[in-house]
Amino acid sequence: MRLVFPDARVWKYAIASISNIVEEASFIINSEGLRLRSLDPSKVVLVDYTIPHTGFEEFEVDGEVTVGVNLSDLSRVLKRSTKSDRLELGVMDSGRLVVALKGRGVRKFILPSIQSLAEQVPELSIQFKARARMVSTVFRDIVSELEVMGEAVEFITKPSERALIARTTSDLGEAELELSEERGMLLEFSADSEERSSYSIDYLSDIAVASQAADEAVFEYASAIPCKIEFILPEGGRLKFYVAPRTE
Amino acid sequence: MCRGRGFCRLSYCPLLASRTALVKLRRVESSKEIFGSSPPSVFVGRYGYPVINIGPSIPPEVGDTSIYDFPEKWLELRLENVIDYRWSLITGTVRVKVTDLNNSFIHRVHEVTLSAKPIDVEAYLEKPPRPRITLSEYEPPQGPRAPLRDLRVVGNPSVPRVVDRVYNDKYLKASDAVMILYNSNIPVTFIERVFSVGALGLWSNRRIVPTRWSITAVDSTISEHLLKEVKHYPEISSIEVYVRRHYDNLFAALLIPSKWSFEWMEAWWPGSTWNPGLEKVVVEGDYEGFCGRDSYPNIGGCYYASRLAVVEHLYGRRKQATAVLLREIYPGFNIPIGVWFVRENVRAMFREGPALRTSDLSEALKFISEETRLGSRKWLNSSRILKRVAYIKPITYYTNISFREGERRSD
Repeated sequence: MRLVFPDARVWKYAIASISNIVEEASFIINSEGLRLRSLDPSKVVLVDYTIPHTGFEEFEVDGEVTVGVNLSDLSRVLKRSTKSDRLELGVMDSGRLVVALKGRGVRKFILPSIQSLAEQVPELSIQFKARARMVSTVFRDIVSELEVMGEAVEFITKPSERALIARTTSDLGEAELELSEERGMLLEFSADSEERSSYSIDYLSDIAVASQAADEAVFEYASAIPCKIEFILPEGGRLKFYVAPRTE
Repeated sequence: MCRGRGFCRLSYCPLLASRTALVKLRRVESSKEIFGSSPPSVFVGRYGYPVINIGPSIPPEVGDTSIYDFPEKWLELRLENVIDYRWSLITGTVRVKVTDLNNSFIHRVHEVTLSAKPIDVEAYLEKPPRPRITLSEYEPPQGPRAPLRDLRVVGNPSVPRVVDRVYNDKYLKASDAVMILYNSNIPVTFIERVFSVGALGLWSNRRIVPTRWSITAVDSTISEHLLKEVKHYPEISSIEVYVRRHYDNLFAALLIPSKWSFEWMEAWWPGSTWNPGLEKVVVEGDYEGFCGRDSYPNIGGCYYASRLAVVEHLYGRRKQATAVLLREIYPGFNIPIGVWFVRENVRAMFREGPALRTSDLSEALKFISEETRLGSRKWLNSSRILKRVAYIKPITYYTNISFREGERRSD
């Protein structure tokens, strides 16, 4: 197997965020491309990371290859990448993952393979009722501004005002952000009904790290069901996180 | 007159504790020479780092003084005795740079510290130690200190073979050395002492570590190491609640069937050590998920001390769980005594076994309400992990679980 991705930094931030949520997971590489799907140990977040085969500059794989990795180790390696680096992934006969950063010189890292138990990864078919598309760093800003004040973010849609409210309350006080197309925070917003749901900020904060890997993010949710945060990565890649709601 | 009947409502009698210590210290009141058996004990300060104060602590007594610095055994003692032991230790200190290990004084400190048994020591001080003892809000109870002029190790140190081996292995990393000692049943506080005097680690990296930092470093290293195993163990089968009361402190633990995560919370009543005000109970806490945390917890070293005790318990059972630990500190407990108090109490609490086993979280919370003064509602509102367990249903609840071929990991 040999895969070459043109921008190692996309992987740097995507994996940094995934490694905050999941400690170990498997990449499955087949003719369609590369995919990682995993549940976090507390079963609150589901991660789905995909890159189609067309997203790679070079893509050579025989049949299907599964590589288990420790994501914090992989993230530590990818943190070494710089602006002009390309990323090359390979697998040794022993099943170990070879990560090479190619830019000014070639830095090659070999990671031990992880054999973990078969994991139940649910297929989610959720009907979302509100959708907000934004520049990915807006999502990061929402989280970092509310994080100061509370530990859960409540999202409320205001269909009449075509706005999405993100708010938090704690002993320290309250904080509220209003996001709309009109104010320039959102690129696109749609919701027909008033939807209201809360999500733990710890998870959102870990997820927000991925905003540096993407240009745009799409946030979808509905009352009392999981939300989806989808980062649109370069080269057709997608990084989706589903987060279970907090219901008191 | 109280006569030790507890009219002051404190957990210990400050008059009795100080009186016993003062009687011992009076023997050395005007002497610049101290002769005694070091338990062994050493103090490494943190002010001025990297130039710090270091020196052995010696009680003015000869014989088996090991109990003077043996926190693993202190839980069985009355609090007055523990405070008396701390106050009776005279510490002679010298200022050195943390990397200055090729110093003959440090070699002698190593000789004393590496000994498993009390060792006779003569300390020549610059000035006589004043038999004054301090009881401050911020500092642990401390006996007198004086600058040290010279130190003579009179007795023969009895160094356990494994300690001698890791001390002389100059290519062994400090974290590996800590685990070798721990796996050889060397008490954690002994490892912390050896760690603090710069006796472990790669030769070029060895340095003296302030006592306070070394305690956390060792607690954290051991629990981190055990956790690597614990995270692969099966989950416990039901919610377990543990409770322990000790000297105006209440410790409680909830072990919940789930993957590893951990939270340590403390509620300080007005008038207790860190909440000298008179108004409201202060609740503080810190937590980590399965992947751990990458910043130092605000709550301090007791986080790692309690985490070590929980991880030891789970490791012993070959199980994993989400652990939420609570501590209530009532007004009578106004003395900062050290993180050993947390570590040993949590260890003892798990040894005593669960007070309740249930599969129902609300029953467990009801039990917490009955046992604690703060009540489960306030504990729940202060806890990140309990809120997660109580208020967030797993994402699998919202979907039908299905396997897709190719998404099973290869074994």
